[in-house]
Amino acid sequence: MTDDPWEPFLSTVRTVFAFLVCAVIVLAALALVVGLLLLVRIHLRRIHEVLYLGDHAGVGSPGPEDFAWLGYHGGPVWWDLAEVYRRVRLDTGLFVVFLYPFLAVQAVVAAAHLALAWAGVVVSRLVDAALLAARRIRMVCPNCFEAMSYPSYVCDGCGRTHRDVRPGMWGVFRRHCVCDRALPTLLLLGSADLDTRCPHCDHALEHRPGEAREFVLPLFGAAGAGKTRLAHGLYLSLEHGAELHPETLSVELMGEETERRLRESRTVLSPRHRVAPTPPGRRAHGATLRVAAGRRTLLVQMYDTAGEWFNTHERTEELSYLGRATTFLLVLDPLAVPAVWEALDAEEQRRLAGDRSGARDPERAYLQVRDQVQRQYRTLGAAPGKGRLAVVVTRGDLLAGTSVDPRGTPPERWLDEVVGAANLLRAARVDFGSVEVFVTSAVTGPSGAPDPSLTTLSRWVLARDAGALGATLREPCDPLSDAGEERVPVSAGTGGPS
Amino acid sequence: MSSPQLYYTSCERGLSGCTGYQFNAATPGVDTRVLREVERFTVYEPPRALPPDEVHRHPINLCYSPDLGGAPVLSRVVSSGDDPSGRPGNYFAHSLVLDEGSETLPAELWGASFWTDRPVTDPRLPGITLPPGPLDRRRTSAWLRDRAEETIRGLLVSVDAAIEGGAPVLLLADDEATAHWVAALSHLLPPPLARRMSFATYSGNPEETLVHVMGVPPGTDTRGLRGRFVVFDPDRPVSIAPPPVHTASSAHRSFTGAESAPLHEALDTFEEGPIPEACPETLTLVSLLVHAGVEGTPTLWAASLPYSSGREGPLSEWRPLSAAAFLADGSFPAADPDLRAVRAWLPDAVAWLAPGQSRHLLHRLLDADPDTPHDDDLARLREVAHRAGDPEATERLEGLILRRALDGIAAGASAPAMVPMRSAWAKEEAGARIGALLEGGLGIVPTPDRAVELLRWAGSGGVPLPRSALERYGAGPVAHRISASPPEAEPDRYLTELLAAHSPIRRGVAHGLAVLPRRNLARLAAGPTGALMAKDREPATALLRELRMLELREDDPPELLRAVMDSRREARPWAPPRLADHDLDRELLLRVWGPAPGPETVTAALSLVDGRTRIAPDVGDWCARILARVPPRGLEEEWHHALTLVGRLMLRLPESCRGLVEEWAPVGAKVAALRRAHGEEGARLLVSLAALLRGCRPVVETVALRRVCDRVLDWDHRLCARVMADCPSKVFDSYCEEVEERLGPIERAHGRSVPPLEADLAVRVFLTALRLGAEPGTSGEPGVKGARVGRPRGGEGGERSAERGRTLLDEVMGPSTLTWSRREAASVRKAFDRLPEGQVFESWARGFRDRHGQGGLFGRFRKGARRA
Repeated sequence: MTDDPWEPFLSTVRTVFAFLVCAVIVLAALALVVGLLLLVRIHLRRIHEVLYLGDHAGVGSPGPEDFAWLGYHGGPVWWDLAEVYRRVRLDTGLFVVFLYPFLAVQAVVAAAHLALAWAGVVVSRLVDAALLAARRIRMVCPNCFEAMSYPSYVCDGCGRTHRDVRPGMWGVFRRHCVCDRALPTLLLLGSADLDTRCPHCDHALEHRPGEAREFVLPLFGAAGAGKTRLAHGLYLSLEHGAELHPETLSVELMGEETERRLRESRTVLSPRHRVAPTPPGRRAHGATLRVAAGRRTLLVQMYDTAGEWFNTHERTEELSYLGRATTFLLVLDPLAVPAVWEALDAEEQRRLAGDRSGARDPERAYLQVRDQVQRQYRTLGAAPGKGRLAVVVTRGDLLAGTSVDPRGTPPERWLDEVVGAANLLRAARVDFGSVEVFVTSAVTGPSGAPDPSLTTLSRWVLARDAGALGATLREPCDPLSDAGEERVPVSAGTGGPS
Repeated sequence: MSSPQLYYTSCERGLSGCTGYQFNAATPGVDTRVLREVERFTVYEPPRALPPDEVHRHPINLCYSPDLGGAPVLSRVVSSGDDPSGRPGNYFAHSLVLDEGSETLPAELWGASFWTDRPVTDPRLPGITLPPGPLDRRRTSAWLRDRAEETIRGLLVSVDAAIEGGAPVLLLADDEATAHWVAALSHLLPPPLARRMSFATYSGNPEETLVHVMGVPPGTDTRGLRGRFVVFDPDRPVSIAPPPVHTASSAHRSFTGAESAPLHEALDTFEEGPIPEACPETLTLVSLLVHAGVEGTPTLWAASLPYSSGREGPLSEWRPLSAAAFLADGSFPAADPDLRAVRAWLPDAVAWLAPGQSRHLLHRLLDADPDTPHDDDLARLREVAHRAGDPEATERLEGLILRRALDGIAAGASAPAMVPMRSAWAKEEAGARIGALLEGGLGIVPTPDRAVELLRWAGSGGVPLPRSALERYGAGPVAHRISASPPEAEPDRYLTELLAAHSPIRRGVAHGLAVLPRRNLARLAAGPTGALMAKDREPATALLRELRMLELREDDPPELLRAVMDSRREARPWAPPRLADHDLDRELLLRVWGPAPGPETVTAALSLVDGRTRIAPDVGDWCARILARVPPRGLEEEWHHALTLVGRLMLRLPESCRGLVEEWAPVGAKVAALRRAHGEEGARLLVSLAALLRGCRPVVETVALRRVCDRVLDWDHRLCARVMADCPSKVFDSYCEEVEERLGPIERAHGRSVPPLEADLAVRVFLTALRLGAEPGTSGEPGVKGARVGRPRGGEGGERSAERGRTLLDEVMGPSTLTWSRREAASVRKAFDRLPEGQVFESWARGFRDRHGQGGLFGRFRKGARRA
């Protein structure tokens, strides 16, 4: 073993060097950690400022044309990310490269948020559309007759109308009006609770469209044929059924206009009451009834348009609700038909002269409507012949006991043989898939109950689209048991739903 | 012109060919669109409260729409009981398609005899010529007599708003009362507006009745309609104090906005529905209409319509027309609100008014109130005047605008934007106004910042500035401010701009500052204020520029003197304040060259003089004082030139100086001859010169001898020694001084190199001294007496010569050698190399240095400095 005199010195040097190297490494590591912590702190502070405190001028308020704030997924998420990056870059300069992993994490979170939000948008819209399709809900404005893909809703905070509230960039489940009121975005989520408007004509829709299936029921016929009275009769038959079975059936008048027109139906249908004509100057408007039986609900839109509208092609053309309907009621005053009138004896003619309308040709209205329906079906791409038509002979109570009393004769045959409407019926069978003939008496009995013929007609009307609702209507009773009636009700019809 | 008629009802025979509601008859040619709209418009629903069969109790609906399918239509709809099929609720509508130029107002036709309620069999109806309506102004006025004015006001405001798209007005009144109200409104409103007002005297379904005013039977439940209609119940008693009305011209007085405010508050409180917000103009006109009444409004509108563009909409737009009519009428003094309304309206109205109308209104406006209008109003009115081709009004308005703007600026307001002015007169007026303002026209003299604003604004508009006023402003406030602040202080930026941009102000400042003591003025001129005028060409500031030049002395004295003289010469024709009377005077010369100048200054100064130069008499005195002194050595030539120049310019000289010139004339000639002479002739001339100098002034003698001796030093040493041996002592002394000057110590001037020692001259002087009889002394003895070099001299003359030689060596040359450096001494020794006297000189010089110089170890190494 050699004794190197330098060995202790070199050993000391090595020790000191090793210590220095370790110290440098430790200090560098410490500096790195501290620096990284500072950078992360800066990043988190900027996130706090931009995302939490909203200190981001880039996300401005909505413009004058916008009625809602953008949802976070509709743009602000990227704007915030960019703003955070901009601020961090300004704060840290070139050291921002150390924050790229954290920024990437933020971007991933933002992307995940976007993916989730837009998935929610797609799924919720699909679910909503599927439910509407499954329930065969098509929404029609009773004022402008246009079909709505979705109604517009009025913010209950500020009164602004949101044209399309469905999920999108303005919100997934809720959208925020510029007044900061949160609005549901789907019927599923309760949007029907808001005031509803037609997106086409901005008319207030008081029947909560979208909640139930809508059933468009046009009544047409010549002036004075009895359309208004029949409309009252149909409503009263439903209401009477609801009174008899309150636990299973309910009927509700939807909206002020419907209320104003049908609230006095019982008075209107009293046998001595004469119904004022519907002025043709008024625009047609659907009277909406909400008919519910258990969980099944139907919104019936009855269109009682003045008979003058069916005189000319130009006016009928405006009745675009005809193309939305599949069930039609052709209202026919038998007394106006010369063949029927001439079949009556003089005494009967004298007695019934005051009830006879002036329209001599029932086919005129039919042809106008048929042409229009076919045209609108073609326009809308609907299958021709899918509709059904009821030829409703009114004033059955007046015909009872006369020489042309329809009782005891099948209505279709009576119509063919007495009224001489064989051509009309043949044409109707060709034009519509299903044709039924009803002889009705739009009157009430002493008890206030509507004539059973009205109930029969109502059941037929509801049979295709809401058979269960129609089934809840009681079998027509015989109002003849109500003594003292001058009019003779007729319970007539070719049968049940075909 | 006849109006087509239309009958509409439910009947069996009509134009449709079917039973039911249809046009029973019509005047041929009516557009089908009109028919469709009339059918829609005339729908009648009898009151629910009345039985359907009591037709006579059903209200009549006289309804009017200005645009049904493009035509104004008036209809009278009555309930007609059952239709042909026996159904109740039938009605009959008799409609008239009105001529748009009809004089009759629709509402006046209530109760007219031509209305019918029965269908006819002939479907062709003739047109009808409308008679005057029964519900004329007289009847309406009588009907309104007992009605509350507040109701009328409220109705007018509400209907005006409804016509402009506001909520319709619902009158809780029967059909006849509604017709009267509508007639009253029609009579009060401007006829075009009245024809735009649609109405229905009865409506069974207000929400379906698309008119501006409609009546519903009293007692109708309107609670559900309040938000969508302005509901009036005219029978409801109200007690609202009427707004004050000016009495003198009560028919035409207008109401101020202040009076309209309580009116609107009253309207807000007395009716059931919310009264629409109305602007003060509307409220003012409403009050005017109510006050004028139904029978007074035709006059009002007849006077107003000539000013109409035909596009007026709401009442607020009719208000200026009524004010214009009133203003143009001129029967009564127009009130401020009327003037304001017309002022605001006229700039737009000039586009459709006849030029004469615009000019008339413009002059009426200017005559009525030229002072109140806002500046913007004046600018717009000026445009009106221009467009109307009214140069007189243009001048007045431009004068007003300029005057207003100038007064505002002077009072401290910011300068408005300058509008281009077309009138030269207005600009001149503005210039005069600026002058007045600068001189305290508003009671206070504007501060420099205001003056700067004024002048800037005027400059941007091309307004000619009043030079005299600017001068006075400069001489007054500006000069006062400058003199009140320290001379070294920088003037503020406004003063700077005033001085830099406006020569009249500089001129005034120069006049104003001229009263300061000259010393203060000089300090001011040397300071920042004087710097503003340093480059000026303004004659008035010549004194300040001169003082600044003299104070700063940035140029050489001759250039400085030239600049001052030029400045004085250029400024003199304008007689600036305190400008020196002469271009060149003693004071200036003293400032330029100080109190003790040399003769070269005389030369320099007088060389600047030409024939145009005004020379002060004291300049000759200044020259005489300089020339009377013996000039410093080396300036003899300058002295000679100066004296020559003085004599040539014929300056007014003092007597002593004139003698000097005369005395120098022969001497100078002799000196010149001597300087040109060589050899013996020079010696002869020197003798004669010495004789000539006897009795001359010392300065003449000194200068002559210096100039001569300077030349003698160049002579050969033999000739020189001969001359010096016999010459007068003054000549010899002068010679010695010259030797001492050229070989002895010299004054070192800063930055000037020392001229090399003239070794040949030293040799010549040493040899001259030897020639004179000087004998270089041996060591330890002063100059060697009796040493002879060359021709010895004997007798008294020889003694004097030897004495002079020793003097030359010991008192002149010896001390000089002590100041030589080794290099200079070496050059002298080298010059002696070729001469036999070199050893003599060496021993003499060493001995002299040993005797008088600094010895010791380093004595040999001592470097001579030739310093004094």
